Amino acid sequence: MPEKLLDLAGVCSREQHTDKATTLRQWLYQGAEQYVLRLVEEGRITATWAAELLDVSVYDIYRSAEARGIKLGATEEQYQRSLEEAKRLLARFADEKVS
Amino acid sequence: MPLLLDADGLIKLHRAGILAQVARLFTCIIPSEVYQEVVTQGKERWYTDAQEIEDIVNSGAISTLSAPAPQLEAPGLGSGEKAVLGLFSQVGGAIIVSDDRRFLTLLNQRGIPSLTPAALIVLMDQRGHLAMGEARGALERLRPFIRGEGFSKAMQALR
Repeated sequence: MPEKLLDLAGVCSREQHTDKATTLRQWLYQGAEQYVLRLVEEGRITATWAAELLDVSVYDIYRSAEARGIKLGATEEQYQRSLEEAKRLLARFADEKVS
Repeated sequence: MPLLLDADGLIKLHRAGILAQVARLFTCIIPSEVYQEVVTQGKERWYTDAQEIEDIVNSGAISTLSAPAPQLEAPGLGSGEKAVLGLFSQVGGAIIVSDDRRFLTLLNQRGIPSLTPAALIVLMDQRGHLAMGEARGALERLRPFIRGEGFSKAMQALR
């Protein structure tokens, strides 16, 4: 690790009244969080798997994504497919009761 | 038509303000892992959704079941989604409700039927289960939590 980065961690730790190791762990976690949110946004993992990886709740994942302006959820193509599924179900239900 | 809900589907239907209605109209099932994710962990962190969803589940409107392990590998999924897949093999004619991009991709690859919460609102609207304006209101409440394209498409599909 570059020495200047370690010096920077020292400066940050003094500002936050903590120690260098804690600062480095915080930076590591923030980097991991950002990476994991990117994986969720790209549809490579689910939000709940992201929560398990970071040992937080799924609500925390939603909140972190919102704070970073990251939109999660189905893609336009998935919404379209879902609406088509809804239409198929409507046709099926034409003579059935909802059960 | 039984609905299997993952954590994402459960939370988003609740935030749309229609979870209780959905649970009255459909047989709704969650695996115990989803209960853990949404209610237990949510309450530990003081999220108000968690308590409200717990009340709906505990009223008996939503069944919580133990799920067998899914038969196929499910990469990138959390415990709740894996449990939903496991339950799908047991519950005949079920539809999975989720808005999670990764989960929906996998379901589509395996030919497993699914609905996003927005599409379910459209379905309920078209079936007349929601009063005039109720579907719009639900989608508006859901809007901050889904992508813009999904919101627009669903609004266009309403009666």
